[in-house]
Amino acid sequence: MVSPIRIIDPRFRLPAQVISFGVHRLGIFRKLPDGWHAEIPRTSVITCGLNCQACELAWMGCPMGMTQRYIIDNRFPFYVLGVLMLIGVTIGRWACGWLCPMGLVLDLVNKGCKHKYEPPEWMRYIKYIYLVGLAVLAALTGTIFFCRYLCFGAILGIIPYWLTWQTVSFVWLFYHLGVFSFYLTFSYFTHGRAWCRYFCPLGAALSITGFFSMIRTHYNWVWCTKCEACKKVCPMGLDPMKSATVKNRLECIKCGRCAKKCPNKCLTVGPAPLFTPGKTEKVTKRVRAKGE
Amino acid sequence: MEFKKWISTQAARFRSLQVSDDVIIRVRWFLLFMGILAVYLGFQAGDDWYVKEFATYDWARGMGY
Repeated sequence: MVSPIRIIDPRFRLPAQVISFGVHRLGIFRKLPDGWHAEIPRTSVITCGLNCQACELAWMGCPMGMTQRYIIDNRFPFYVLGVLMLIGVTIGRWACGWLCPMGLVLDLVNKGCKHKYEPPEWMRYIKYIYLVGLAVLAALTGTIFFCRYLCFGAILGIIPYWLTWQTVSFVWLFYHLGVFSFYLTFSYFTHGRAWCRYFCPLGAALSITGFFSMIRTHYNWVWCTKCEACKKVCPMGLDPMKSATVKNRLECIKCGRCAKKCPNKCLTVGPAPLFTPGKTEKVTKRVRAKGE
Repeated sequence: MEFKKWISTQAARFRSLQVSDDVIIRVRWFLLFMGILAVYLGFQAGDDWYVKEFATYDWARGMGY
């Protein structure tokens, strides 16, 4: 049975990203002009976006930071795994395209990128190494290693602190500016979403569970003229015409750029079928196949 | 060299594999229930809601904020 609601309109993506960015940062109200408001709580509700170094401004927990924390505390991360599974199975990497605060920053960065160089395909596996590595490094070092040294918290965390509270350590500020410059240079020659494609550990976690996501890109080959306009705009470097392949299911962030660009409206982002096709439908298919 | 070629061929084959909707739908429901079970176990096994370091801002202090 195919869901009657087929389309999630990509025009709503930017407003959704901006609202999500604001919601992730609601913790900023703890530091109002009249002083520090510690009574405004910071919960451990897990969000579905990467929120590097922005703990002070956030009021929800980033899944990667929480995972590392559980490992350091010698607790099995049932809660984080469960939430990641639920997010993955329901919206999957749609969260990367529509809700992740880092995604909004990267989409803005993308406007100035040159897209000259296409990195090799194997680089997509780096994010899975990052995912395993962050757990291993947290266990070995006893620190939240990934958050401290490997992500770029300069934009989401340290610079906002510096601008508002002037209490940051300059060693960390310059270190993270350096890491950000590295990713920025890489993105400049490849793509703004290079972080999501090659490095993001949360993207890796969501792509594994998001393989079975309830939201997916639908491709209707009947009207397709193979103009490849969709392929040119895909931020993840995919071929949207192969939307049912393993690669697309793992990597697609459902941003809907392909759907927006397609002149014949062959592509839509929308809910996947929730139930297996009924017996009648299967028999009809078989009869049709025989007839053809 | 042969091994490298074999690996890349297998990876390309895996990437272009098409999984049937039937399998996806069944595994999806299984994972959904497993996810709910994992969250439930998290709360049963301990007070998983609460991560002391985040709640008390020790993490940010350690970074020099």
